Amino acid sequence: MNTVIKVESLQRVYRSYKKEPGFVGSLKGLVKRQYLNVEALKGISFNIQEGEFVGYIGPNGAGKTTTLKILSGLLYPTAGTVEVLGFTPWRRSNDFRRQIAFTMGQKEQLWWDLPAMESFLLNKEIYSIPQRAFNDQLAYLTELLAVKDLLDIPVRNLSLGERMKLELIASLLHRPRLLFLDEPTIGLDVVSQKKMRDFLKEYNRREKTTIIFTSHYLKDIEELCPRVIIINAGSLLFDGGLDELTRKYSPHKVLKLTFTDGIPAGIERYGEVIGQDELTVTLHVNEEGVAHCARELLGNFSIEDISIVEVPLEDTIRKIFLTQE
Amino acid sequence: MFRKYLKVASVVYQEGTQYRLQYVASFLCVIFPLLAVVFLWRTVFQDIQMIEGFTESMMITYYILVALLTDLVSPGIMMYITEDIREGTLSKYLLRPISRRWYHFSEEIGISLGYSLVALIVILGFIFLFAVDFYFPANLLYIPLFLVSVGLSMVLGTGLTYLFSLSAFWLEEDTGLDYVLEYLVPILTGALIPLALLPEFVYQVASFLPFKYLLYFPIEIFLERITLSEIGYGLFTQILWIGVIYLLGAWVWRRGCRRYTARGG
Amino acid sequence: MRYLKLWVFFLKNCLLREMEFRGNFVIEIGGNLLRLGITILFFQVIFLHTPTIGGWDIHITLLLVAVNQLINNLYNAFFRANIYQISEYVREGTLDFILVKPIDPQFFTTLRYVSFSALFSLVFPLLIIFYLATAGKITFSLPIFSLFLLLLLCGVAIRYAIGVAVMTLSFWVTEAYALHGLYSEFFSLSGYPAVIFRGGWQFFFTFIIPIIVVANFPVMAVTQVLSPAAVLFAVGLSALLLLITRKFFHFALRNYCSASS
Repeated sequence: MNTVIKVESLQRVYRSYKKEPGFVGSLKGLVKRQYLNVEALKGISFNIQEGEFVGYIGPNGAGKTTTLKILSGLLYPTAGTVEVLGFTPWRRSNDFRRQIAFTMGQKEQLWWDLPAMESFLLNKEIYSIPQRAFNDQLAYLTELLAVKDLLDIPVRNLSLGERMKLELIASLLHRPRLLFLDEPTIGLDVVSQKKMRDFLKEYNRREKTTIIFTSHYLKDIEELCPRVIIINAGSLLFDGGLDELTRKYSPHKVLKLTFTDGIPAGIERYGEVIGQDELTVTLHVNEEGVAHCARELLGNFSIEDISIVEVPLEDTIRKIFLTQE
Repeated sequence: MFRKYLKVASVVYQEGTQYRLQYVASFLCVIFPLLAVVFLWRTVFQDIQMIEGFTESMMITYYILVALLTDLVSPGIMMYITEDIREGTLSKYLLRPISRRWYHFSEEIGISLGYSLVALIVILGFIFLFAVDFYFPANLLYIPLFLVSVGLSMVLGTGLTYLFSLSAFWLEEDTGLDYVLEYLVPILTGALIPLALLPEFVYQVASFLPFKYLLYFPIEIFLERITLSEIGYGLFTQILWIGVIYLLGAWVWRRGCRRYTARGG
Repeated sequence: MRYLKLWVFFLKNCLLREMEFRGNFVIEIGGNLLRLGITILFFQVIFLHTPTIGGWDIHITLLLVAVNQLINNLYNAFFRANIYQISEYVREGTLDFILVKPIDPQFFTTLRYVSFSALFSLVFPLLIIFYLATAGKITFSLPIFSLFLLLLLCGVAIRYAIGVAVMTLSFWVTEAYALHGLYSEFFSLSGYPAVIFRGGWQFFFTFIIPIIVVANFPVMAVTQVLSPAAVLFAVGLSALLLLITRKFFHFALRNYCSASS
């Protein structure tokens, strides 16, 4: 398989300066500036193969958007090497830009006062998409996202969910090999989120487009991204499969038990007690021991209800961030 | 009672000074047109001694006073009420224990005074820098009369602004009224060119309208172009116009509010 | 070629939008007409009382008013809205969308929107020029006319270049729109006869802030003999300003890409 993104010890430092308040402060600033260096990326490395769907997660200010901007050529790195589709992104050659797309959940590119179709036609011109290819791709995308009727309505009259779908279409018309999605589901209701996910999954499967995806909704990541890269405070914390993540950081299951007549003493023997009330107790039990443990509990006590589930991804990730601090 | 209106005025003034670059730019915006107009008249007066009783020095003084007074008396800032009415935010004022009209009056004064103060300094600098032959009235009695008239102009100007902005109750969209006012008012106030220079017929029309009393009349006093009895008559007319405009304003406001609440805004 | 096609698309696109807001279209045109009317009135009244302004008679002055309005309208039609929006692109970060597209960013940011009301308003100054020519108040020979057109284009180019340069400052200053207001105010002086500026001011307004070059030069090409040096200067200056502006815009983009977050 092709490697589409190669990032090696990528560093990015923002240089800002302190300004004292007031007019005198501004004058002082002109003469002698006190610089503040903020390290947004502290030397991260990773490779991404063609067709991968990668979830890129981290808390606010972790350096997610900075990375995406460098990879798409919007920002210069301070140090390190980056190669995307064989190009150096910040040279912004037309051949490079023709093969990528960047969609942001918080910023919209469609022209507000006109129907989305006009913006699509504009992109057709900008990317010099041949008529046939344009028609085919548009038909395919509108079909898949079920937005055929929305193309001729001025964008300002559409809901956020509808607009986001059209934004995605605008980004995909030129069939980019690489798609950057910066929080595309932000602010969407549950139904729209679900539709967006289904679409992305299907599109990635059919077109083999490489997608890098950031989101605060871990449900998105869980459902879409076989591989996750976790970043915090400019450093890479984890890079690997989602299952591997769980195995590494949460090698246990959650066991929830409801007893008929009160919680027996010595329950901590079976695992770490996470929470309990009158009749119910929640335990973390090692993955290997879970079957044995359950059998034993069912044999020894009178149990009304038992459930065994994975540790929620959210908890795992929170744990990663906490252990780092 | 009066204090809260004073408070409104000072808040608005401070907000104005926050955008310093814009502030500076807006004064340069006063200076450059003035500069061009001064140069233009200087060139015209090369071949001619006097136009309709104006000497070169009087003409240049005329335009300097226009630049100085325009912000004070300008019925140009009418967006606030218009916006409130169109966007339905008027309701919040209707609920407050401060009369909407007085609220805006103090707001206008705050803006105007702030700008005019700095405009005054800039223009004084301008007079010295370009060695302008500034016409100063020989009879010092004309100065207090001029000031009284300017004070009345401010009241009149605010009333007119207010009246025009109330048109938003009836005109729901931009109808170009702003444009018409923006371009017609400077003719009628004499800001574009002294009314005396206009063709007789236009001059007659302008004399029957209140706009003349915003700029042209006070400046005529300063330039000693009219007699004391004419000034007395003019001040009387100015007060009369103020009365008419404010009564009209109150009436239109009541009609407008009824319409506004009837629409359920 | 590809860019021409794109620009034609912009044109169509904007026409569609303008049809959405037909009321505004009429109002804008009315406003333009009023503005032109007021300027003519102003000079007409002055000429009621004097035969010339420093040697310029009413017809030459009218030509100047028309030419100035023509240049204004061309600037407003093709550039003004775009240039004004540069600060918004920077502030709201929508510039990112432009930068990831395979297109020249200066082309896209400064030519994206076309105002059809301003375009339509070109009719009024053109009518004045047509009247002056047919009534025999001014005479055009073919070479003079081409020179006139050339200098007119230079005027538009100068306005474009300085306008873009001023708004490019919004990469550093948040209040660049105030500077744009100042810029407009400066260039509103271009509608006055050059003879009113004397001595140092003539130098200032020719070489430092070239407002005399913008509208007065084309008029002088028609009414008197404009020296070849002056023509060369106008052409050279436009080319130089366009170049500097382009460099400056790209410098600003580089800065944006190394400083923004």
